[in-house]
Amino acid sequence: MEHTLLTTPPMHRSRACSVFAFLAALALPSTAFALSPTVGAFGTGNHSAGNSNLVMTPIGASECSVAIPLTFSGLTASTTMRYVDIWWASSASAGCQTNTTRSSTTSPVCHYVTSVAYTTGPNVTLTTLTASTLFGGCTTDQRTFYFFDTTTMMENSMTYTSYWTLDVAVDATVPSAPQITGTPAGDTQLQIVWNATSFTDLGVSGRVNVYAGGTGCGGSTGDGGGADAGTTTGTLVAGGMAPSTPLATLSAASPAVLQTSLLGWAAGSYGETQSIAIAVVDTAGNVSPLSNVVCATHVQVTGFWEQYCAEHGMTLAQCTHNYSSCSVGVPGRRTDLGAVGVGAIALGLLFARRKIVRRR
Amino acid sequence: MRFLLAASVAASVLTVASMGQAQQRRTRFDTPAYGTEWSTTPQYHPSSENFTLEIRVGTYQPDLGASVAAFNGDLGPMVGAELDVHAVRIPYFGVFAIGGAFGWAEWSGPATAVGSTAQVGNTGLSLLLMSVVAALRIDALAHYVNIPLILTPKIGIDGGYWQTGGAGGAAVSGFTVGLHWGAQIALELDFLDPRAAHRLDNAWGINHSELFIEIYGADIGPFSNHMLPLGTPITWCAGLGFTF
Repeated sequence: MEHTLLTTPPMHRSRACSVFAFLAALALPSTAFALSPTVGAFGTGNHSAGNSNLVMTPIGASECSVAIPLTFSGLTASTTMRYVDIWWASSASAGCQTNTTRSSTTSPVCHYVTSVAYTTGPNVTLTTLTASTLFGGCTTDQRTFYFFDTTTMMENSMTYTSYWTLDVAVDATVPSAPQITGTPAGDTQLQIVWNATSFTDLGVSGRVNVYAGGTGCGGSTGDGGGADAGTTTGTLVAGGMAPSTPLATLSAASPAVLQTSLLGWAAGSYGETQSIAIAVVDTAGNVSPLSNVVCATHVQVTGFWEQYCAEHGMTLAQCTHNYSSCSVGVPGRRTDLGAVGVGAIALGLLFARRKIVRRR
Repeated sequence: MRFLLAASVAASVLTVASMGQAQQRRTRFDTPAYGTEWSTTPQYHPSSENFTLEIRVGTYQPDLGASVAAFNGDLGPMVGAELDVHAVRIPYFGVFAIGGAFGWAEWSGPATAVGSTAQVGNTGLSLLLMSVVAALRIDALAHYVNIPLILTPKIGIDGGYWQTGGAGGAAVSGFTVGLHWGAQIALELDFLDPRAAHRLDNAWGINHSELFIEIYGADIGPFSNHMLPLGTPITWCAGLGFTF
């Protein structure tokens, strides 16, 4: 799962950082925080809600322990120990920058998380923070984190005019296993029909992963076999954990269209079979268990064009060659009449135009 | 002397004022004369009519023989537009116009595995039609007899670009050309509210708006055995037309 905008797992950091820098330059006014690769900088800008509240894409259950690198540029350059104080509230409008809000003991809205020490400002990257650290676990939740540059830990006696906020959500709920309807069959494409409408958290970034098991399915045993399709003896196990590498990742819509070249099916050779299963991936990157395992078959498909060609006594190749663009043929009897008609109209138009010009 | 000077100044003022009034009268719409209880009805001067634009939708099923059954009776629809240029006005009869039109339709149906009725996806055919049309807009009834009908026979040439493909099947495209005829009857809407029609002309230069229905047919693809016959013997479309 790649987080967009602000924070990324280390493996995607450089690419996402350059994207972020570009987006930040577009989105933020020049007087706002001087944003450096990830979160932002204290600098001289005054924070106001809305203009520098940074939002991370949801963190999935498998990423709770992955470090979220947060780079701060513009911390106080000091040789003595200073801290980045981290607090959280349930929304960005909580106002945790004010000391009274942070120090309130009756129905507190701001909660202290931790303080990270630093000695060499102004540019500091915190690499030890994870979703588990920030949230105190890995359960589905959404919080706004406040970051303050301070000299003492858990500082609640002063009001900050410069600070960062970061909205983070943890989605620890793994989607349920999808269900494939029917047995896909096709020539160059396979249409995999599945219960997409049963999933509400796929959004625009949700995906469906397609996995291939063994070939030669359709018998009574093994992947995609008869009654025991996807049993524990198969490569793909219905309801089991999805393999690490999908055959293809498609948009989360039904039917999912899989190019059969990915299965190694050659054009014109029919009868091959392949067991396949799918898993859905939600917006937070949570991968569902595997769907039921079905046996896909390589079949010759007939549609309009195949029927039209057969009706006219041509093979598909002959027919396609005959009718496709740029082919030129000898006019037939019917053609001669048509050509005469077109010629007559063209001549008529020419004469009409000539008359108009003469009148002028 | 003073009297003469005063008289000449007064005469000059009156002359300038009357010139101003005359200029005011020369404007397109006479305005009420201030300071009197009389007012004049604004006179409507229609703008010139040079074009007719039609926006249309209707059914279309190509005459492709038995294979068109693959689309399960899909009727399109064919959506399109036509712009006619009024070339010659025939007094007390109508207008001879030449125009261009385009239309688009798509048909789809189930693709099946050979030797089976199991649907494995969809098969489709789309057609983009471009036409050159000669039309005779007989508007004398509407303009001289107060029967708000316009009759328009048309004839033209169609050029079409088609594409077919679908689930796992062959993807093919090509061009086809043919003849086109049409007969249109249009109801000129001016009679519903003539003043609104005049305002539309004043503001936008649209002289008339019309609701029409057209019966037409096309013999597309007869010029070569290498052209897909995508014509239809007879079909219909309806839409809205604007003369401006």
